[in-house]
Amino acid sequence: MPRPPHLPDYRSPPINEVVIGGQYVGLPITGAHVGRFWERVLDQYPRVEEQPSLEQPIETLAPRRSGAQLQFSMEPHQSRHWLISANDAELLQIQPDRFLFNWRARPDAGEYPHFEIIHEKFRQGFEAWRKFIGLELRLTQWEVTYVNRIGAGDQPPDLGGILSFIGPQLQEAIGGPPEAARFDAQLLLRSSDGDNWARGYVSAKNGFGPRREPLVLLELTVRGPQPSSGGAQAMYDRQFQAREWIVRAFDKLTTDEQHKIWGRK
Amino acid sequence: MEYVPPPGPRAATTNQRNEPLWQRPTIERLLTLLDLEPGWDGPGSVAPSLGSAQNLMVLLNGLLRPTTLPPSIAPVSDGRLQAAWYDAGLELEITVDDEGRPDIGLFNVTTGADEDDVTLSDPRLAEAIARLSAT
Repeated sequence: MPRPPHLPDYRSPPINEVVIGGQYVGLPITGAHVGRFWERVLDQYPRVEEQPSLEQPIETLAPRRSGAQLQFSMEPHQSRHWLISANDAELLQIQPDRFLFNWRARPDAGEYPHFEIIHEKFRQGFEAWRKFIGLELRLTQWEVTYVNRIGAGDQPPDLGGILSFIGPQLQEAIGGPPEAARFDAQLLLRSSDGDNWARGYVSAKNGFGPRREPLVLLELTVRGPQPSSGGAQAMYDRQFQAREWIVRAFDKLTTDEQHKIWGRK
Repeated sequence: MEYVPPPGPRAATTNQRNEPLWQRPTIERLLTLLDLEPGWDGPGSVAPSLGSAQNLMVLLNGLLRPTTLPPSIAPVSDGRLQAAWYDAGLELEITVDDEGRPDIGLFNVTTGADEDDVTLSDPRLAEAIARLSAT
């Protein structure tokens, strides 16, 4: 799918990680099955790690006022396996009810490859997994996440200089730049015909990178239910739709000054 | 009214580890120090024990935030282990022996105040940890 021509684009976006995933009714599989699948993708993902499984939140697209409205499965804890590329930049995450592809910024990974290429890798991995399983995957949900790490060298980042929605009023009100700050927002996303199709999440906070460098983490996620028809292709379409929302939101959430630094085209 | 945070997603990211920021480097450093032999710092010096290392991790687990900066870990010649931070205008040193007894030193670089009587429950320690952490 070609990149929409009017979507904001940057030469060097501060993207640290992109996650694309699909969730389905749990399969009766164990690590042994994942090991057999790993043999098929070993040349692309030569390393494996085992992690605790991710919990299974299911988005309900009813308006949310307060409190938890996520449903959680009562399945016992299972493993999640990471199949990792040689340069550590790409990995497949597999658990009995979820399949994800992650791209991560790494020194050997080159520039950010853009969503089209990342999604193709997710699609190829997912199709290989579907073929290996040989059973119908009853898709329930999909997700896309972008994580951005925005630094300012050795200096604590100026939130107002990075995030367009934080103005000088915060510093003026509290008497100086905050030592720590956090912002979370979520929104039901509606299509042009008025249907709810997903929920979008924005999270911004300051933190530290692996070398103790101060930075701002800006994370955007879109997660939604699997459309009632169209199978895997419908999921892929939703993921591209999610990408558009994320990129447009990121563009609006960050300042023109930062856009210049990132090389907005 | 108690603030109930929105039930945001638990994204399947991998770069943003769920373990505390300070935990992995601390464990790696402790494992290195446990290889020290008696006499490592000259005659009479005592090698750090597994007990001291375990006690230090238990203490740090209870004291630090997930986003607290990793401390510098150093052995003391009497066998104790010290976790120290020299950041955010503070010098904080927590030394533990193999019976888990902590010795805490807190020096404010900005004011010059030297606090030797700090205990684990002291609000000055909590404030120091807060300054050494991000949200």
